[in-house]
Amino acid sequence: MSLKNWPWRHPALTGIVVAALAVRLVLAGRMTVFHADEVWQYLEPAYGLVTGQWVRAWEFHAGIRGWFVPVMLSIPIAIGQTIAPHSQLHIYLVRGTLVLISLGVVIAWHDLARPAGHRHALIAAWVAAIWCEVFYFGVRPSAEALGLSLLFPAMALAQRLRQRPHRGQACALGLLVALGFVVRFHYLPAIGLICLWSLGPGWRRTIPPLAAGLVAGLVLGGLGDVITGHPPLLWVWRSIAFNVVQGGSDLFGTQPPWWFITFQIKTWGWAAIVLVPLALVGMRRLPMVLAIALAVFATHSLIPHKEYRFVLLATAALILLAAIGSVDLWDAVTRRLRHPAGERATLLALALGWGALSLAVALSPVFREYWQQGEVPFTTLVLAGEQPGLCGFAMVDQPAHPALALSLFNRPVPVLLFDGPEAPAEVRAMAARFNVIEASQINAPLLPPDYRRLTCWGQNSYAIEDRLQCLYIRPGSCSGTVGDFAYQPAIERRGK
Amino acid sequence: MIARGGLVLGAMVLAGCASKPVPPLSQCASNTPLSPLAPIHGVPIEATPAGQCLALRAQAGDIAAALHLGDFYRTLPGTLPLIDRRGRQVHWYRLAADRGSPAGAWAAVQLIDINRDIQVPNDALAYLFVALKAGIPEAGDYLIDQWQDGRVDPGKLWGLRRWLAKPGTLPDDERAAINVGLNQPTDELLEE
Repeated sequence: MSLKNWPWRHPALTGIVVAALAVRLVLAGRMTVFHADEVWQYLEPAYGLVTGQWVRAWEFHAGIRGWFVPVMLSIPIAIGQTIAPHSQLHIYLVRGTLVLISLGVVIAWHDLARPAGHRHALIAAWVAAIWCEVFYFGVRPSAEALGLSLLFPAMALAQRLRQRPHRGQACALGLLVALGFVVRFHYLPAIGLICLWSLGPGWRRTIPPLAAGLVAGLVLGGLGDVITGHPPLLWVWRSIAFNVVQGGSDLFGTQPPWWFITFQIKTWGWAAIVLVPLALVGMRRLPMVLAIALAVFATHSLIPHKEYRFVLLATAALILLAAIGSVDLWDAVTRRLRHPAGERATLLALALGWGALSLAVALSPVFREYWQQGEVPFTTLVLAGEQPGLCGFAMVDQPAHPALALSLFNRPVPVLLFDGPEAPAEVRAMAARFNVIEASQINAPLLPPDYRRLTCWGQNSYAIEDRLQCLYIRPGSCSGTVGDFAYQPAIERRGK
Repeated sequence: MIARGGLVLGAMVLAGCASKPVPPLSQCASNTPLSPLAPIHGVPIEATPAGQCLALRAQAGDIAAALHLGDFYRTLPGTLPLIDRRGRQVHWYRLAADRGSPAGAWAAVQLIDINRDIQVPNDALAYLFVALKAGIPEAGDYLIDQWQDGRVDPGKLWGLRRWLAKPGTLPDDERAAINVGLNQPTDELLEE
């Protein structure tokens, strides 16, 4: 696909890409976080590479996380820190980068649906642009989101290669799937299927460049480990050994084997009644996409620890099939009614229908909470870092550890952690070491008397006992040491 | 050049495979007496000679030493405002629990699960299962209470229910009591 005059030659697809960009940019402007891993597995180490300061979660002590993604994210963070070191520019640049990468999913879905027809391709692209589960994760620094952005373009290339071997595309496919493996190795069975998909009658011409791309991708992935002083890709084995062999992932909750199916249906709500049949209609067009989705669901179902985001590739694949199926169903119905609609009417009706379905899922009881998830704690951290005269920060009885993200707090001052029944006495004993406190409103009377409440950002509608992240400040400077309460050793003691 | 690069990469991989050497057991007993004076003055017990010796034993795999350190911080009378007392208790009990100690697991549950307005945290629940499966009766009662209070997601009990369904895993009366408790109606599920 030549890029010369591309927007003029593909005006509809260009419009869809612009819409996808707009939706993602709006979301990127908000301080929401779907899962703590986005912050402590990716943003924090990336920020640490640039500034030397970060909260090291236990996974990095255990050596079960790779460095490729943090190294990549450190580039926008370094740019942001150079231009405006005391702002959140570095975070917005990270999200902007992820938004741009995620647009590849829109193009890939267009490409994957293209053999079924022009309308199928446009509807698939539109659904990739506006489907809440796809764009919500598009702005997130997470393995699953990056997996989507790498593996859907890989599927599109695999489909092309099966028809017509091409050295450059085979090499690109190898690179994409290898990087897909590096960011989320759990997708290995799906990656294997994508590679198999690419092998058509001309497989002999595909395999050498595909292998070269694979090696290049693995070397690139391993390079992230090497330049940060770690053995290349050894974390993959360590992660498997810890999570599967030792059963370490059980510490994060276990669920029965059918949980992914039941939770997915719960997430979709009544829209599942529409989506599942549409996916069944669409699967005959792209049976390999269905096989990939089933491979992801099946392998992840064998592991007791389950989270919705883990199977995002499979969820999105089913939505792609449903998008394609919706055009087929529309055609079948209009044929039967002997009222074939024009192309514009078809596209408009389906686009509106998919927009309504996406909105229904986005506002469903499960998904509705995601739109504000993390906004209170992380915005509070940003506000804490922005306090004039800040010389030390205390986090008191916060509901989870770690709660501190230096990538958002973005100030090189000591941070102390207090929790448990003796926290009020500890805070008073160490009071000289900090002048900003984050604590719940209900704990305010236990804080030293010279503190005043600055804000309980975003929690005004909460009951007082639910306002867990309020900021308190006192005038004056700091003195003394952090003693036994320095944040990093304190969370390490707690196994976090 | 390529061969040299390969050698360097190979050496790095091997270096990564090599686990950290296990420190030899220290020369003190697992129940070495510990003085409360140091923590009262803001010095963690692990920084004293006896505490350091015990800490090394615990890190080398001595469960009794880890429990002794956890118990020391738990039972010291009064407050220790200069010591991260809760963090140090959690550390030693978790270490004991991670090495298979039901007593450590049960102590860790009670330290970690402190907010009754949310579901039992996943790590506390995992330690609770360890304690329950080892036959600590309070662990079974505790799980039933949390379940009935809506603090445990039903899916998270799936594996445990299968375990409890097998005869011989616990004495029959204990097993029956837990099963009855876990079959009672529950309050609305709290947030995770």
